[in-house]
Amino acid sequence: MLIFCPHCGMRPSEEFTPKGLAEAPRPALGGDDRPEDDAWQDYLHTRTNKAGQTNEYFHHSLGCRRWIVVHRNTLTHEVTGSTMASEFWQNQQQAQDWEAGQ
Amino acid sequence: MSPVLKNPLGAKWTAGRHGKAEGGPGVLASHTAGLTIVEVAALPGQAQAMRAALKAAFGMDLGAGSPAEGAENAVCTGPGQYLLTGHDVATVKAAVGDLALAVDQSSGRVRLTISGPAIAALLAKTCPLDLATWPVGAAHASHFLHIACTYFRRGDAEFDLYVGRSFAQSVGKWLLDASAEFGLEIA
Repeated sequence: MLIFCPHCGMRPSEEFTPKGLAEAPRPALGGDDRPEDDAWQDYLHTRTNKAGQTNEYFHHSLGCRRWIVVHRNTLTHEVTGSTMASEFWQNQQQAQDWEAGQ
Repeated sequence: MSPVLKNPLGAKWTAGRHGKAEGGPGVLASHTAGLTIVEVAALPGQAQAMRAALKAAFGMDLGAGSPAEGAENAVCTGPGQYLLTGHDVATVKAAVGDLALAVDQSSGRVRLTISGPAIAALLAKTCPLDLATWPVGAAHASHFLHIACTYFRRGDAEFDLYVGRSFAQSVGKWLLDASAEFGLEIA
């Protein structure tokens, strides 16, 4: 499988370490400098395990060592693109539009 | 206490001809001992400013930061991240100021230069990338035998390999074996 890295270009999957679904941004800190329990629970553990277009974190560990978000279809294994993880949640609207378009 | 390893590429890595003895060597290899390597990494949002500072101080033109826009002494390893050779860490720190972090990697990395007519056939045995599509001057952070390695294309048939020093012995051993069929000349 080939995965596109925004910095390095098309690379073989053996260079990457998968982490899991990028489903929700990290919750903001509330009182006591900690996130709400429910939000934290969701962020850590709740996954939709969707069949179809997903966003997944991958670490380009044998390359530029950046975290990226890969847009992949879990039914066809087709990789349609990727975004630097540092930019992914900054551009949440774009992510939502992308989701809505699927 | 184990003896200090003087040659990071292992005891069998000696100057002269190895492997196939007939004809000219297919692969030429050299290791730069005592090379100063400094890794710089730009702080968030400062990559372009760091490149401008490096250009002002050392004259290296790194373009907009694509891995294809490196220089022989400034090899791109990631976004806003470079391996600089030939400058000591204090000079680099002075040049980049608060725009980037600079760490001395002279003891951490080993630079190997390999060249020769059989170089594509040799790298095809382990490098997962398509060398034919690389422009001269391009850097690729990838792997060599599943060891993290940064490649830099110096010329059509000449490459620099930067690997971690503690992995260099494995790389040296593999190069001796893998290039035996082409004939290896170590400088």
